[in-house]
Amino acid sequence: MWRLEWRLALRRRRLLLLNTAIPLLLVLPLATGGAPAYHASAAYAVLFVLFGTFGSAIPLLRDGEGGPLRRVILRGIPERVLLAERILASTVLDTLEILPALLVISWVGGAGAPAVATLLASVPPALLAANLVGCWVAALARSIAEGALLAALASLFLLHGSGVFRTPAGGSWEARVEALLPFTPFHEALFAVAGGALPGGGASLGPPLLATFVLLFATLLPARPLLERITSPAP
Amino acid sequence: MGPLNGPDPAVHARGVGYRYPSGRTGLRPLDFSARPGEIVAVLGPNGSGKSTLLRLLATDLRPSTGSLTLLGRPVRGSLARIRRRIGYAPDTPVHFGVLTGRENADRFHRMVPGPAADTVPALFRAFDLAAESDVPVSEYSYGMRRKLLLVEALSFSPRLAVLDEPAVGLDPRGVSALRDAVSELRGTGGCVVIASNEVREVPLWSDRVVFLHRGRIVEAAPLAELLARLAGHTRIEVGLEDAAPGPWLGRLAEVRGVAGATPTPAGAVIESPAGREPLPGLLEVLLEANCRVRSVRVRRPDLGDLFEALTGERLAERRSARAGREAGG
Repeated sequence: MWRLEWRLALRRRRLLLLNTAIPLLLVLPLATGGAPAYHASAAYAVLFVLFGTFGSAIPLLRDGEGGPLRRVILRGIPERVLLAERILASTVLDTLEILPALLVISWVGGAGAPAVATLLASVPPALLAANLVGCWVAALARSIAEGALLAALASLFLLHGSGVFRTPAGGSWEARVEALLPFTPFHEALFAVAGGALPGGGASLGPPLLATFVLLFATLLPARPLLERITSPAP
Repeated sequence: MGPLNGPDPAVHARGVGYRYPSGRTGLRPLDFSARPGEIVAVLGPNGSGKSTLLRLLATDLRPSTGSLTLLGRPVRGSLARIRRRIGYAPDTPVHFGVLTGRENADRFHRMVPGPAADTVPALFRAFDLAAESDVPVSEYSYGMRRKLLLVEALSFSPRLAVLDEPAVGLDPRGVSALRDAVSELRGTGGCVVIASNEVREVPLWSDRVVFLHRGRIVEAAPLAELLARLAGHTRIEVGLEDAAPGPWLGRLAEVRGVAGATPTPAGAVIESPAGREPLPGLLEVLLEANCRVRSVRVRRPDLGDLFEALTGERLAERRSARAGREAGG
């Protein structure tokens, strides 16, 4: 499945090009327009997380609605393996596609090597979490349109919890939730490369990583019913 | 269907039924078995439950009632191991459109470890797809996609092949390749279950025929036995301008050499154990009754007629075959 996903991605050259060019074109005016780091990083986080969530949910729904995904399952690939390889391939592909945009943000923001390294380290876990959210969205949605709405809702809700749109008061329950969510380190790294300075060095990577692994486990454990729902949606 | 003798069945269904999420009954509880090295044809009109039965055998659906054992394993829990040994060609050909035909077939062939020898190139040649093997499937015609689907279902020598309307859309060479492929599979001990509402080609390759009507098995017998029931009979179909039954119908049945006369919406069907012999007598009765004869067709009865006799419904095989040819371009 891993190899199949890559072959399909490389064969859809136009989509590959658009997926690389569009994030770049969207961040370029923000990065070069002198937007404050706080606002720019929020816009970047929304863009990249939606990119990951939509990029997982919509193809799953498309391949599930009368697509070849059901045939692949019926060929005898264990559902857990299929879903894991698909999520992994999609995460790596998403990371590579947004890499040029991330480098432009870092370069224009004049970020130092440690900030860029932190950003690059925070990207795969954030996109993995976004892809996992996308799987759940695909399982809950009944159509591609519904999937797009649910993906936007789930992403924005989680981004809000990750402190992207506001800074929760220290010690509050919102602050404790923020420290756990997978998108928090990614947003803070984007803030740093965009020229912002975090008091106290920002959130620890540990709890969000743990939350991502819990989400991964919670997605792969019920892989069979999840894929059943995606490939045989109820009327 | 009766108890099995010989090798363990490839398919063993007891009381298997299926109800769709909407509540509609797809298949009433039924018993069905098929042995290794056997070709079973499942015949029935649209909506009779053929595709539901085949989807159950391909593990695309799970039974709502009863127990199903495929290739010696019960259908429950994870089905990956069973599925690796089942070649399923659904009624709709779905592929990765951006990949070529060869890439699609290779992917499906090698997707799981341990398939048999690579028969993909030979099947591409047999189904006359070799020249287009490097063309993206998005550029394939309907018939070519149907052929590719069959290549994918049969290339890894499955122990159970489940083929839904496999001849629809195929040209004569494709039908011939299909016949050879399923015969070869049977020869190696594979079991083949084919659904069809066509009666003149595919079912005649089978060892056993199952008639399905409104989700129920109405007949299941060896093909030879069913053909023996039809042997020696001729069917004379008379088309009339005004097909309303009249006293002439009873007089047709009295013509020498006629075994029975049945009214149809278009006229009447006369069963004759004496071939064309009663034809002059029949025309005489109709002319005397001032019936205006539009057409007369004399033919040997087929499995469709047997189905009609059992259920009172037609299989609509002629229209389906024509639609298939048109779809195949």
